[in-house]
Amino acid sequence: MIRRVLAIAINTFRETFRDRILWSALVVALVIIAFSLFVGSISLGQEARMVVDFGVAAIYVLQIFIAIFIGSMLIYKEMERKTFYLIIPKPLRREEIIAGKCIGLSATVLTVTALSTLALFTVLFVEGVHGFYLPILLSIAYTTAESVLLILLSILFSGLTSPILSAVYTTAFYLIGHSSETLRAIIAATDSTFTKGVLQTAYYILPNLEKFNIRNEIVYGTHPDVRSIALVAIYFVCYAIFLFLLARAMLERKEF
Amino acid sequence: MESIVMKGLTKEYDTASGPVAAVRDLSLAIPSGNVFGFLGPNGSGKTTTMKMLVGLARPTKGEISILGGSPSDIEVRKQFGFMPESPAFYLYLTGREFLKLIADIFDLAEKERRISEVLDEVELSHSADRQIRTYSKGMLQRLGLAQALLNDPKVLFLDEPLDGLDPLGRSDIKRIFLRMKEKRITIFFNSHILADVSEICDLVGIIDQGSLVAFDTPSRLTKGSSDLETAFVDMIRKKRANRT
Repeated sequence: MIRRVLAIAINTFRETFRDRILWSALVVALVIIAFSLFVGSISLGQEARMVVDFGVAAIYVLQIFIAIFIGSMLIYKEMERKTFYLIIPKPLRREEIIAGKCIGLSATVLTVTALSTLALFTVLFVEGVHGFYLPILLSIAYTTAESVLLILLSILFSGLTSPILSAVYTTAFYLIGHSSETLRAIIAATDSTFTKGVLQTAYYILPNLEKFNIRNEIVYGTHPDVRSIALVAIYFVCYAIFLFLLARAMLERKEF
Repeated sequence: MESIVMKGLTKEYDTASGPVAAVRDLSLAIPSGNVFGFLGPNGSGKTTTMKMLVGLARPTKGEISILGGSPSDIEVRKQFGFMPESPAFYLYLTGREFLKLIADIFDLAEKERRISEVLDEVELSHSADRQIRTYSKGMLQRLGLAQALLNDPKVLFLDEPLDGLDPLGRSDIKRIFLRMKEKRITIFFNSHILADVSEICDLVGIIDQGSLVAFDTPSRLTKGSSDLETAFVDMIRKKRANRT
């Protein structure tokens, strides 16, 4: 099973790595990181924070972009080009295909994240800004986890609809996922029991992606304790399994 | 012993005007080691039948047995090969890299040796290290056949393997078929190129509008007709006239 998943993962990694969109996105991220030097130089006394803030944000946007836009093409492209006709009849379980696709694209995200993080650390080193390395790595680990959830969402939608609609739906979930607090405020302000019930169900089913946002904390020198890291890790694993099972059910039902 | 058995196989698709049957109540049994040609006009249900046989589509009704098991069974899938109509590949890979991917999925022992053997078998060794995007139609068909043969299958499903090939390409692919036939591999192939079918097949099935019209040896089917093509056209016309 592991060999089959790895075979699909390596092929997905190879395929996404040849995507020009990926390299264009990476160049944009690197330009933003370099631009942070200029922004830092014009901000009075806040050079280090500006460089860290800009750099971490650029890496985050890069990860989310890859997860949503390249992820949205993954399954759809295989169905559209009919390359799946050569893969599906092989001794492969549908969940192995989902796992392989997710691992392959996650490996792509990790690789470009590593490259852009290296660029950010180089900038910080040249600027003589020290002490942010570990918190930055922690923040990037959080956003990498978020991008894995978005990859699974993209895979789920890309098996159901066109790449454009899949990207739209995943972006919608991404935005909702970062509005959980707003949803909670609406629930608190609602009087109707029915509406409250519906919104509460939505609150628990929809992803709470704000859990993966510690960018502000690290800029201001604070970071989460071990307990909250463990809770976020548990949330990530549970939600990833939930999305994986949904994506598996989608591909299981699919006919070609 | 039969390698492929279909009993009452039906496939319906839901449309706005209600369910439409692509395949109706199809029952067939192909003995092991036979080459079976499945013939029919365009849209007759050949490809739908093959998709159900290899697990790309699910039957609405009926049963399929391949080597005594279900096509969805991983152990059964290890024993058959499938080449779709006009196979589509990952164009950025080389032929050899693509076969390596398939060998990894099958988790084959001695992958490199087997890949070289299959490449020799389909006469593609000279182009194996070129990107697939540079391949001609004939080379793509050969690579399609190579990936179907990689696991040394007992049953081979080929959807229009001769389609779009020039006479030389068809002759090469037919030669490969005959080698497979010598190895006693059960071959189930769809085609509408009838001259080739009568040369290669032990058994022929004719399908029209989703229903089986005839199932026999090529010699019996052509009895009283000049060739298989004439017999095929007569049978389809007669069947359609009876329906109306």
